[in-house]
Amino acid sequence: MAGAGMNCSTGFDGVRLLAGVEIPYRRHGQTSTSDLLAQAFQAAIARAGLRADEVDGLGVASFTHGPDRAIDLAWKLSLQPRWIMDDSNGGTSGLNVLMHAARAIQCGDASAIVVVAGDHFEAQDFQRLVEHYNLTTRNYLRPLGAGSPNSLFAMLTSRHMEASGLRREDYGTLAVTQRGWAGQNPLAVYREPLSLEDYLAAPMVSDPLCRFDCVPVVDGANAIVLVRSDHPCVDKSASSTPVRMLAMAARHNIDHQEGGGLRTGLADVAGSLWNAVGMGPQDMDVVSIYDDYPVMVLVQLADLGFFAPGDAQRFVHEQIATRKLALNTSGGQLSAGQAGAACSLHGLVEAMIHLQGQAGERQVEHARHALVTGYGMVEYRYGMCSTALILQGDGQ
Amino acid sequence: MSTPKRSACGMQMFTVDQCTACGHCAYPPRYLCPRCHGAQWKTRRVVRGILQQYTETRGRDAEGAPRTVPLATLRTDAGPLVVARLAGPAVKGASYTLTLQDQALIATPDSP
Repeated sequence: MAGAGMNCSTGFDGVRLLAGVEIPYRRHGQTSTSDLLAQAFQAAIARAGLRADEVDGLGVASFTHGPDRAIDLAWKLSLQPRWIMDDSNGGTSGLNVLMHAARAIQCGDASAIVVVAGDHFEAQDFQRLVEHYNLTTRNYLRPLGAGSPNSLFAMLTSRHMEASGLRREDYGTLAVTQRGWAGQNPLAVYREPLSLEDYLAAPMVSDPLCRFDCVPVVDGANAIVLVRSDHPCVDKSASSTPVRMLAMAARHNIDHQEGGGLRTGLADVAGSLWNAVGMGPQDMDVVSIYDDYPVMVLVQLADLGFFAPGDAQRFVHEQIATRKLALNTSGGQLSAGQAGAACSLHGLVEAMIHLQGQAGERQVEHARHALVTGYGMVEYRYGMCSTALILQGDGQ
Repeated sequence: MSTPKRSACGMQMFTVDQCTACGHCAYPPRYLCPRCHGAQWKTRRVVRGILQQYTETRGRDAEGAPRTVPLATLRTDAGPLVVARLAGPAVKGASYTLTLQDQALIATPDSP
């Protein structure tokens, strides 16, 4: 394994991602978290051409899986794993597990790992989650009547508007564009066309955020399979072309919640990430940016160098709206739905589908390289966790 | 990490933690100072903050009735940025007095 400095993990040789699957997201679903995770597991190994008894590692990312943990799911799936891991660090949880899982495979601790991520929310579950997200939320935000992150990202969006000069129409263009992609994704929960007029006329949730700036809460699960590159299923899995992990970087709690939230950990790692792969933003064929709010898509894209400071508006209209940048092609969480920790793998699964040439109507032609990010875990005023991953397919 | 002090009139004064090693003020409290990693804190009273951003969050109360919660981000005179519920009009750049009521940080306009 080789490292490229402190800011970026490279050298994932010997590891292949085989399958990425999504159990359809549903509003007010009736399937338990455990059931969703089990369905995702079974769909993933079927796609990978892997038998359950070949799986020797299991990672779980979820908010609502408790009181069960990874080993409980392993028992229900009759697995005998050598490697298990749980992570509940929100929007980066699935990628956190992936990073550890890849190293486990390289080090020989496991040869075939399935990472599942998902959540089922009853109405009271979600309210409980957002009001008791952590002790800071419970003790310092909930008493204000501000248990939801919407109010925090509303004020963050206001700061971004002041700093960037963007208007509501610009954020709306991003939401409308993602809805257009969702219209080509049979699994997206919200697929009906959305116009900018619809966006601007929508009810305010927490000004300047309207309904279409806030992700709709759904149930669902995602899963990926990663294996040793010499694993027998790499060759027999014709329906699941292997995908390589080229580089990965994570940086959390960069400013102790004492800044404006308009800069994420990705800004600190972008240079080393791109250097590690010898590419830049212009080389990415598919881009999945964690989209809990439109503003955070633009913040992360800026951090990663997709556009220069002051150029956000041009980028939105010339690159995103025109689809020159294939961004959040599933519709993103804004339209496909926000299934809790499942969304920590949602963008990765979408990127893999494109790299494997299985994206159907929305397939990006000759997609070879993809970028995926995770973001989340609001402490007091904005998210603390950031992760980015660069993938390579075979370009078919 | 310190706990808020109650004033003579029953309303809690708002305080933040100040690192005894470097003087950095932090809110909400934490174990180690984000500037110097010092572990000793003293309590510093905070009286005022300047409003930076605000929002009105629409939601429902416990009985399901619509309600609007006015919230703001303020830069305190001790340094930390805080989130508070507004008890009066929102005016960007204006000064507000900060107090604690039932664990909630309340920002009251200094000028009506």
